[in-house]
Amino acid sequence: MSEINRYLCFNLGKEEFALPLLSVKEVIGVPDLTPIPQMPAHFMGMMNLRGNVITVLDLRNKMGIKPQPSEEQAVIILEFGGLSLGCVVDNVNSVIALSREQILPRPHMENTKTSQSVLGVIQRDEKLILLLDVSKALSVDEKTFIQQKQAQAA
Amino acid sequence: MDSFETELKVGFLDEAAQGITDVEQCFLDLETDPSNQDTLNKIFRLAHNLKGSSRAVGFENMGEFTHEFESFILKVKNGELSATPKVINLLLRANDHLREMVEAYRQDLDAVIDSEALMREMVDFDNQAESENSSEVESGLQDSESIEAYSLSELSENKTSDLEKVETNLLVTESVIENASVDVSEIDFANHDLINELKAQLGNLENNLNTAHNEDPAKPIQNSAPEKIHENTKNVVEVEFTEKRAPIEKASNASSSAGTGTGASAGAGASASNVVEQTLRVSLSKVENLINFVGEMVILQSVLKEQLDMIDSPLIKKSISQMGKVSKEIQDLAMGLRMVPIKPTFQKMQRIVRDTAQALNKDVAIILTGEETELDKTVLERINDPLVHLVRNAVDHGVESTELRLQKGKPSKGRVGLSAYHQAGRLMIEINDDGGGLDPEKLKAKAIEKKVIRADARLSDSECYQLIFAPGFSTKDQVTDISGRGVGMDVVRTNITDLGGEIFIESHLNQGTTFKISLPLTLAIIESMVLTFSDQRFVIPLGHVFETLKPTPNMLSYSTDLGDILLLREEPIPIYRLGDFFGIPSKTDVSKMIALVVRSGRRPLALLVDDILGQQQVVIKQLTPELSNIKGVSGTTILGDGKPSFIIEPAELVKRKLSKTKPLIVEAV
Repeated sequence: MSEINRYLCFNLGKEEFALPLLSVKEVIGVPDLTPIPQMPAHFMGMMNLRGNVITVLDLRNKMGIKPQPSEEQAVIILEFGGLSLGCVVDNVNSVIALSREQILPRPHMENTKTSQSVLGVIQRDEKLILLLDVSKALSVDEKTFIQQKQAQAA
Repeated sequence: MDSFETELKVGFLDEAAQGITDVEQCFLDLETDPSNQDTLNKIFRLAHNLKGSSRAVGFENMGEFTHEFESFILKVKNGELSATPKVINLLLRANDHLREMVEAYRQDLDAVIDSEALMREMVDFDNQAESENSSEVESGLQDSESIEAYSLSELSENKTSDLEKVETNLLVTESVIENASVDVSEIDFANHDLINELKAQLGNLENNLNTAHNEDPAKPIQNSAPEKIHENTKNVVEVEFTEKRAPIEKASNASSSAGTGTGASAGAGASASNVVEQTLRVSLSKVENLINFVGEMVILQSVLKEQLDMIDSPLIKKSISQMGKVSKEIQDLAMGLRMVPIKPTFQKMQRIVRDTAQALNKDVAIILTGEETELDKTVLERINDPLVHLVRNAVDHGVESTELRLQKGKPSKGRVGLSAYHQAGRLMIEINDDGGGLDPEKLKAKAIEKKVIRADARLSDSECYQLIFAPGFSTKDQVTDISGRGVGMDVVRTNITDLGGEIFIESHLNQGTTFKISLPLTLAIIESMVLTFSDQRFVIPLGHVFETLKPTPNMLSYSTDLGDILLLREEPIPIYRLGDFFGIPSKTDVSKMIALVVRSGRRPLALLVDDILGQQQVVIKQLTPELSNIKGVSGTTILGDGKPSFIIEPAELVKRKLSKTKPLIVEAV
């Protein structure tokens, strides 16, 4: 029996995703955001989290998913690799506990951007939940963007 | 190495670094007053403490070195060596070496450091000056010390089998010390108390050993035993030194050493009157967290204050306004935690002046004033390099050579002054010298030669002084090791402006030059102006805003070459919409906008904004890494309503590529 890890499940549009719970610092309602100039469209803005300024990103925009605006929109505050980032999601569903065996490998398909950030697939109650690699879905790509920008500036 | 040992070592390194810094000043003081016993005592205590504790935690290299260092200082202290510049140089080098050692150990706890050369030099110095009587005592004591070191290191290996050996060693130690004490008593026979004390200590030490031995002879001695033994050994050493110093009145001090090892050494220093304020070392991140939360509290407080009219209860009203005062107080206190005195930096400068002057064969005195002036730790760190540069320049370029000074009828000893004080909420640092001063004509000629300015340029004297900040400009014909490569002054100015500071020059030919640096007290809080552009709020540091005005259409003109120009009192200033830099379209007609004139950069600049909301103090927050590539923005802050906003950095703003805009004048018509 391998160890059990817990995952936070949420919706982007109609699709359901999961994140390792350990990378989630907290979940809050969507606050008023200050726009950030001259950044890609998925940089939604900045928010004040108890005195810390945190950048909020739109995962839906990032992954090309059509938003399903609802009352339940929330910001998941993630902490990884020394960064604190907020991600807007359409709603937060549940926390599930899984062992490694319950995560199925990601199906082989044409390497689209999105499929690379999917670590695996979880089958649950007749539906599929995609397990996201947070750093791939967000930071790595952002870093390349920043490097590109800097290369342009130089 | 187990974690306990590592912890011990790291703790020791922190302590050692602190100690070395504290004592640095003494070496320099020694030069001005070589016979000052207090100063010597302080240095001696440092060496002594380092010796004891470095051996205890297992830095053998350092132990050996500090041992020689200690013996050397003792010579100076006892008057066997006079504190000549040569001796002081050696002491300073030894101090540097200690600092290097601490650094090296920090990198690698098992570092092996070679101090052979310096040790040899100190021993050789010793030999020259050794008198007959003292040499006997010295060798006797040195023997006993090496035996102690031996027994200590043996013990630290925790082998019971060695206990016997140690005991024998102790017996030898005792007899050696007894011999030594005979010598000492010949010099000064009023020392019986001390010697008795010493013997009592040794008895103690032996008892301890026996206890440790008897308690569990089969097993290795646990931590406590070697520690006890170490403490006692330290006491013995302590007594010895007091003995070597041999003044009778110290006897009472020494007897107190029975209880506390280090306490005795402090007492023996006879500077008990110097009561030091107790301090607590706290990590910077803790302080920053505290400041963050205090900032949040102040924001919540202002939200409450805004709601004050809606509250009926006088008690709640009173409490809220009372709480406002308290939280302001707490904010001031929290901010004060980041403030440190400028003293350590100034002391470093003192050393630099000394070394530079010596390298250049000049005689220069440094005068420090306002060392207790406090400023933000970050500002202090970042002002260090510019200060080093300016101070070196003052000695190298400023103060003339001794011959030249005598020719000019000045005192042969040059003077470099360094002072710090607060003025109008800013920190001022002045570096002045009584040297030749800047020659505007010479500067101009040089600038023309270096193609910094055109040959027909007309400059006032103060504009000529500013030329030294031009990149690639150096006035001294000869390039020395010290300064004069012309890479420095422009960097100095850039560093200072980056900090939000300014630098001014005053100079009088043949009387000297004064550099005045004006700095913000803290980088954490700035006085700022809150403004809006297209419903978005921005913050601009108030220091950057020179004036604000509503431009009339006839003040604005446009040319394809230059873009939009604001003609302000016959001065043409380029003017932009703030949004142009951030890709934010303007919603307001130009005639309704307000222009901010910014003069902090190299060239003046005017920014059009929709409205100015007010002035307030804001707490600066660094840009998070994912946003660090946004140009023209120095950070973020949280405004009174709890929403974040960007802080504009005008000097960076102009470096941005402009998004193409329509000329203002077309809209204005």
